[in-house]
Amino acid sequence: MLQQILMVSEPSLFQLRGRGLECLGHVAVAIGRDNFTRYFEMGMNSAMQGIQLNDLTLKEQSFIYFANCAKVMGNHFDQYLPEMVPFLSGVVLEPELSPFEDAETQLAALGADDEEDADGEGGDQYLLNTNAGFVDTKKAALVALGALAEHTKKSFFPYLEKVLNEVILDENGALNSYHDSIRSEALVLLEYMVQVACDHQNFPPPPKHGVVALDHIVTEVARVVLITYIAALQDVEKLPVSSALNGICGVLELIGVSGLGITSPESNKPIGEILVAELVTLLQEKAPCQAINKHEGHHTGDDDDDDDHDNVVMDSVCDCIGQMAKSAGPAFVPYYKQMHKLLLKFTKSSRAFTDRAMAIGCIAEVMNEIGGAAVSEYVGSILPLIQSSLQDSMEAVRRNAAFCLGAMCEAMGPALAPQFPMFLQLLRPLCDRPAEQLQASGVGGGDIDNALSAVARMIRVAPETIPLPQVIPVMINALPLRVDMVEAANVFGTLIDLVLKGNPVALSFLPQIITHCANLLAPSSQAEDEAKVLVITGLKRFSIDANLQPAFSAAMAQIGDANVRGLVEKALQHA
Amino acid sequence: LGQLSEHCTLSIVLQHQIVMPAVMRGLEDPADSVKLTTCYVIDKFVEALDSAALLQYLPHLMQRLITILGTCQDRNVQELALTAIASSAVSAEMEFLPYAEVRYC
Repeated sequence: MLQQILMVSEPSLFQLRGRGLECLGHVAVAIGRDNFTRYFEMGMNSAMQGIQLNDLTLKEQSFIYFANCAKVMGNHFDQYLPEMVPFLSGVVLEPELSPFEDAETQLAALGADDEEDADGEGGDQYLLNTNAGFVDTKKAALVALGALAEHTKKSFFPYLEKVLNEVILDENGALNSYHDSIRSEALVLLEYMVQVACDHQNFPPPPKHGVVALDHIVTEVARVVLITYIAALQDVEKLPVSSALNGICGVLELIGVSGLGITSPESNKPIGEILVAELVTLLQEKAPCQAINKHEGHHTGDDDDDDDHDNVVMDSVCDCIGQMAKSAGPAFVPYYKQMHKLLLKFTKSSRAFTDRAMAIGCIAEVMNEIGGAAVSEYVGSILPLIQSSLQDSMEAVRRNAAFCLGAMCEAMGPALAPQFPMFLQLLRPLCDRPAEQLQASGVGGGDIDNALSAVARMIRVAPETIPLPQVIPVMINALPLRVDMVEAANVFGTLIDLVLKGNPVALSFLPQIITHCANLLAPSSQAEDEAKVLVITGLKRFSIDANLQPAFSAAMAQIGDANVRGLVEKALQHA
Repeated sequence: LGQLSEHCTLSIVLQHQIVMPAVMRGLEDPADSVKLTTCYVIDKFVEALDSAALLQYLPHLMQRLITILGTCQDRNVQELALTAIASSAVSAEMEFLPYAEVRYC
């Protein structure tokens, strides 16, 4: 049925044809490459023909089909690149301004609903095309170019330089667009140009916190892209600023801390230094896009929960700080010094809870990466904040505070152990909550997950300081994890280690520990593979270790749930 | 229901056993305007439904959406039916395979 719709040639049905293509693209993503291959050509024929027809909606939907399909079909698109890339670039480069003398004709062509802005006076007047279809088609072309680059990888390399020049330098280039949504999409695209360069040069994923030598091509592409991102932080609109910050995160993920050491050709300063100065300005809320927000009351973004929280830019700022810490590790400390006090400003009780959660989450990410020696410098300013935040009325704040506490405990190790009993007192109310409270609307339980993980980290660091007879029953009762499954490896790893070491308290709860482990392996479990492997290995060791085997058999005999027993049996048979 | 599905997703999606049979009846309503709105509701509702929950409704849902696509003369209804099918594919993931392979594409 779709086949008929995809080839309709009656212009009044082009919108239906576009919807058909959109639908087929989603089907491709749903059923995957192997199953979709037989329908791929059908969609491509329709889309390649559709982009030649003079219909903006059909063009846009064809580009969206390319983008969705590229995710699934990857290098199947190689053969189409010579035709598609110049075509998409051509759409992106279409002028947004036209001489004023054509105004009447253009207005008539665009329809009465579309607004046109006159720019300039008399003979220098131009019309800006604000037609939604025109803007959306350009955006879709940029999305398609990005998806092709991302998924055809090194095959896109021959087009890289031209696309970079067209997007960044050309007078009609997308970064010079009058529309912030187009500038934003162009910035998203640039990250994939760095990825293409890395793929072409076989640049491996960077080591954690490690500096690696970047080859010439990767360095030059990353330099151009990072400098462009930093320049975009001066944009007066928030969307491009957010995209630039997200793009910086993406590039740092690709090339690691070495990206921060690339120098700017203008100032000869390392990009890391320039970026930090820009992030400080953003944290001070003095960037051009923030000034407009304050003076004009301009507001963008989806702030359902809190109208005061700038979730477009500030969340991206915090993500960028977190990514810099992840990439640089202890080397991030000199950069972070300028940011810490500014982040604390967002944690004041007078700020929106989303601001508080965001800033505490950012501080936690940094503490998780910079190492114990550096963390010790911040304990004095962070601990009082954590204490109050763990008792905050909002779950998001408690959740990030618990994560921050766990990160600090792990980073500082035994040095912080004397305070562990006090931390346990603060964490207990999070874990020990009545079931009816947990079932209330809007309660996810992420704070419990992070509290359990923080306790697990304390047990690992200094088990002798933890009153396990009181702590383990609370942990067992608070499981399973609800939201933050990334904590599963830490929480379950700690419990399994205690059992393997023959800890008598852990052994007395062996049936419950085995049951929670088994449920983590259930088909419906959202746990990551790392945690599942860890649990399978743990259960196997329980069953074969001569010292543990009797306790394991006795525990299994106490488990009445056939489903749990089945999951354990399956784990034990796992290769 | 469409608005509730879009804006109160977590709460309403738990009620799928009440919502889905009701909206699927809407797909058989003689009035195109009801079919149109129903497709919109399905698009928004199914988007939030996970694959396991959707599976029980998928055979009837797809049968009715495809029938609309083939028989309804209203272009807007056809377009929204396609959008609802697309959302169903996104949520169903690999469970959508039988509908792509055998019957409809």
